[in-house]
Amino acid sequence: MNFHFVFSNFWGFQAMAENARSTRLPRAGFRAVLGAAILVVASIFSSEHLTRAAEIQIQAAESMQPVKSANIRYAKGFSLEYDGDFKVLKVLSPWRDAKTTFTYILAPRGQKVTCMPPNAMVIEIPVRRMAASTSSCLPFLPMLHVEQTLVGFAGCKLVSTPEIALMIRQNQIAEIGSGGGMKISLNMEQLYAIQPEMVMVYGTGLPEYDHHPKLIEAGFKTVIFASYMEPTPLGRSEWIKFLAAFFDREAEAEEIFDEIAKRYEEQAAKVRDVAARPSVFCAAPYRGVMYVPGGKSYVARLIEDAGAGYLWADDTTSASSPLSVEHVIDRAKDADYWLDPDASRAMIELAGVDERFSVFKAFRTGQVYNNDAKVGPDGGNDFWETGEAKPDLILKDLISIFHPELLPSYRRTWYRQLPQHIEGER
Amino acid sequence: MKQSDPDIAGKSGAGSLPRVGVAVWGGLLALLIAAFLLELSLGSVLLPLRAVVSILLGNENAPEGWRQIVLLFRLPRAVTAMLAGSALSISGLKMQTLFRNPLADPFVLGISAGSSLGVAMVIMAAGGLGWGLFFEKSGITGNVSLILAATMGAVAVLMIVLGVASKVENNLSLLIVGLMFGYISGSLVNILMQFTREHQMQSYIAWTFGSFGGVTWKQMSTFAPTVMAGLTLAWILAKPLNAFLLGEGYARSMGVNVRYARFWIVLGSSLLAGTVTAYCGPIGFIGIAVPHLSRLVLKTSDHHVLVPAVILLGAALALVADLISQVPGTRIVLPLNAVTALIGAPVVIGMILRRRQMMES
Repeated sequence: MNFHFVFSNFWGFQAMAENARSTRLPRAGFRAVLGAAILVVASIFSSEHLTRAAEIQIQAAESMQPVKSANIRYAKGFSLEYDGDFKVLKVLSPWRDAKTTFTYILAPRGQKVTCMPPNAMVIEIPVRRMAASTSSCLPFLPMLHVEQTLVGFAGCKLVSTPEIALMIRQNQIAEIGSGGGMKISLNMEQLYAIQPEMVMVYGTGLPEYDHHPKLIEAGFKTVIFASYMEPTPLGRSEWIKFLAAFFDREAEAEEIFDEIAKRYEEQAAKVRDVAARPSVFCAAPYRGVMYVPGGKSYVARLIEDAGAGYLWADDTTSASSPLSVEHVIDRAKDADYWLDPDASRAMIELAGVDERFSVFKAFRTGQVYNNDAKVGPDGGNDFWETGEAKPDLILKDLISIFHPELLPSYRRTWYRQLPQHIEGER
Repeated sequence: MKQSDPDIAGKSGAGSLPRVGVAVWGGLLALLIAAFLLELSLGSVLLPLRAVVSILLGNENAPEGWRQIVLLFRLPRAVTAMLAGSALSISGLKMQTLFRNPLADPFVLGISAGSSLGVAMVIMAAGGLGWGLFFEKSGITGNVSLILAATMGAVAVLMIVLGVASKVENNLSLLIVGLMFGYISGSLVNILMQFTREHQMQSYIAWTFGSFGGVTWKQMSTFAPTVMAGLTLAWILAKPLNAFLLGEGYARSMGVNVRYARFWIVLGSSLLAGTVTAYCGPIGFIGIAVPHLSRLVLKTSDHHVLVPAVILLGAALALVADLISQVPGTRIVLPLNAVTALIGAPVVIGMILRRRQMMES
């Protein structure tokens, strides 16, 4: 019971309910009753605690200067408020269809936090040692000049950000992952050894992939970095402000982001009134189905901003859906461009997946482009690591594909036209 | 010996006859034809039946998009579904008879486990082992490399199983060896998955979902003859299979060379299961359900009747399952393996309950 109580301090009702549920699920009967009893007792404790904390907070708020919100222009997934010496950082949509939010109180080192929202976590800043298991935050670190704080990363082999890759080669960053790929698991012993003040992870809402419950239980200050939930390119890069808050670098972040947004808007303005908008589709084939990004997805937005028409623009989802090949053919057989055919590195490889792709005009004319021009020797694709931090460059890549006359002699960063054959050894 | 077959058949339904009414055969054929036509006209894009028929008859005036969908995608998918459905069902029938176990299915000898391992090695070991690179250098990519890998995996397991089959005395040992292979291959796949990345994992998982849609006309030229050969072999083996129904001792007393017969039954069954797994992925449930359904519908265990009935019913049910997995009228596709079990399991449960009631009354 004690355990449940402590847990509820960190997480509030949501996590506690989840925890109780997970206790109950595997075994019925006696354990279910016990679980329910724990839930009831713990919620009484917790609600008392909640009311008390709310009272303190109200008193405290009255005595202090008004709360000031940070200027967030595109990102919808986090908020940052300044409350006296403290910052209140909230992750509003940590994963798809999330029913929970995360609140972090960023306190100057040594300052006692007197009032605490019930489900918040206190993190002392500026953070001096951090670990991460998500590559999305990596490119922002050198931009903010705080890469030296990174002491551990899960999946070091896949890192492509040059500054971080150099530190890995010089053994300044410990590998905290074990296994590999999607089901990478964290090496807790290594984490205890390097003692990070903060661990930056991503969440999926799926217990088999998520690291944060275990990390929080183990006492690590765990922060969910959910830039991937932003449906807009600039929304994703605005997460630099989220990261900056932990290092007191908000002013720099503001400046950097304004510059990115300005460059992005400049590029987008070039093609806003372009006369001919070519038709484009994205499809990753997997045996009989094709994964097609929704009309409200990040990539759909980029395509539209690059002066082209996305063929699933009428779709209202932001995730990719497995669509039947027939449906894709029906809509996209006369499309001008085919983007992101997943792992295929050459036309011959794509034809090997299914030679019938020749019904697509884009396939016959060779207008197939993949974002794999910068893939590391171990398969880490820089598009997914650095792309989010530099959306203006992705946009330029796409504009140079759809409207080459506007960017003559431009050399694309991530996108390349699929060659006929696989070029030599990688 | 021919005379005694009906007696053997009499085991399951009292007083059943080896000859089945024209109505039942007509019904099975009608079901197959209806499912075939529906498969061709329904899908994400709904096509009028008349247009489908005219396209099949070679009408060049039909809209180009419709012709491509029917001739390049739906027709090979329908043919694949029929062949695969028949093959799995026949394979399952033979395994159930050989092992005298109603739970036996085409994969009980570890054939699909071998295929899965082969495919997993090609998809996931691209970075680590030389396998993927070997295929790449030989110019074999994509689907063809998966088919090749699955075949190699199935053949490797088949060799071992056949070796065991010619050594051991009883069928149970063979069954256990097959099961053990399943475990070994499963663990190796798990180890590979631990070190694989997202899209490779997705490729592998997509393969395990099963699909009739991946077979192109080019691949059909090897797929169809192989399956046909396997089905013919099953027809030839109907007599020894009948003898096996009452056990090895009985078969031996009937003058059947048990080891010899067992070798051919295992070979034929594995050929069918291995080929289907290679081209369509490990498709579950059809192979276990269709023999049961056929026995219930036809009320016989005589393989001279069961083999053609299982072929027809297997083909028809595979078409129906594929049709449902395409969710006609929508743009999504459900995993085939999920559908086969989802519709198949309640059908089997219902049939078994009904039969019990009939027997009790």
